[in-house]
Amino acid sequence: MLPINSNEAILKIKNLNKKFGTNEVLKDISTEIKKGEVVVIIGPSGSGKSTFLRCLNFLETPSSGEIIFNNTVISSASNEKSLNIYRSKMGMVFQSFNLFPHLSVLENIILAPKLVLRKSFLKARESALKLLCLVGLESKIDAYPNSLSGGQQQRVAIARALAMNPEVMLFDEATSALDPELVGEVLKVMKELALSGMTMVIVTHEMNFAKEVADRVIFMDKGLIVEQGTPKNVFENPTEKRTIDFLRKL
Amino acid sequence: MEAELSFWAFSTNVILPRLSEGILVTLKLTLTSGFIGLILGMLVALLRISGIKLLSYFSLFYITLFRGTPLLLQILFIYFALPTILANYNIDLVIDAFPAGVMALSLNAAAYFAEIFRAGILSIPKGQSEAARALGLSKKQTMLLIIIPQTYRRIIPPLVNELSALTKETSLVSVISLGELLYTTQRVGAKYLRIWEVYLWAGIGYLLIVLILSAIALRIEKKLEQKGGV
Repeated sequence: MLPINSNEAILKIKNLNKKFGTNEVLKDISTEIKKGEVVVIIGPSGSGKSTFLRCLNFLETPSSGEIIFNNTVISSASNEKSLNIYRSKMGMVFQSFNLFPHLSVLENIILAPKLVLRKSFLKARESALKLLCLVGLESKIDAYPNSLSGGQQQRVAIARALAMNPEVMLFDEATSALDPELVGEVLKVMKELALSGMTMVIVTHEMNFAKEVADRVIFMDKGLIVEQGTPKNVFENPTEKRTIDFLRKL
Repeated sequence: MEAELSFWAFSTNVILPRLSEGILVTLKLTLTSGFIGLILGMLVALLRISGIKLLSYFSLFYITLFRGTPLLLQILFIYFALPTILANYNIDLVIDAFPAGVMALSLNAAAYFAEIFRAGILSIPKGQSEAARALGLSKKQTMLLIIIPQTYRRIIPPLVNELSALTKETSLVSVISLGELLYTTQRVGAKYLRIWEVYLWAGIGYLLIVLILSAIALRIEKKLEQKGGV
């Protein structure tokens, strides 16, 4: 594991609440994510971990609370434009890949760099090629998503997110929709990314991956952060009863 | 003496030359109204899903109005009633039969097209717009570059449905004496008193237009299929 670059927090999350109707999904969550830190969030389904991740880039608007990203306050009061800029700096990888099926692999990757970062086609294509090499799919540059396996699609999705040069990468159960034999190739790319010093927030059910890659593990249950710490602490010496129960069931 | 001609001679010498004029007008009516209707319909659909209450209520009102009243009434209203209403406000407007027909047909078709577009847009999985927004694309970019292009193949079948309906509905414009296919048919039939031959050819005429439209649509569909299958 690389040492975390500094104590500088890239994301400060302050009193984040999310309600769907009367259902409180996130209850006053506060935490900080440091530059270069790899945070893995675990917990039973319905614990709010995906919602938390989606609130981090405002795909879900928090009911209250704010996020401070490099000294900029992002909250539900932020305007559309500054949210778009913020989102462009937060890469996100989804459980269901969500590649754009009407665009080729290359077009998927260069769309946002061209539109949002105003990169030229040639520059965007050049970095797309590098990223495709990184995820091992340079031969699929002109393929359409439907002709790729799930694992390949997810690797393209990772390349697409990286093409924006994000400062933080969010992974929302990125391997949950994959056939078991395809999980490894995606985890490998994620691991390489973690080793390269990328700041990552990962929601996953892959506990071995969490143990191996995480700087910090957060255990969430019922909308709360129940326990957090190094993988060693959380997995081997959990102190909270709910964490112990959860880990025992695995 | 035309009454003496054989079916084929009467058809080729009398009916077809006259009816081909009518069919051209019908084709022009269909294509113009179809085109305007598509653009207007897309606009109405976007208003409906804009998330701005006033606009979406306006859109709903529009759709209800044009779907809820007979097209025949709309044609008559625009041709006969609209100029009198405007005259009350000292606006002197005489609408010719063709523009009146186009106006009624495209306003009417837009209501149906709008719902087809809206259904198409709603059928695209939410993950698509989430992925686009997560990359920093604006709402507008997401709609124009990600969502709408994915609806094309899905909405072609219902659009062709609606366009075929529109082709046949142009016949209603005959009530304001526009020389389209049905109007011409009736005139020829009345003149030579050889009714069934004339109506048979009119039917074939409409069928032909619809078949051509469907063939074009099928080709477009096939073409889209090759591109990513969406």
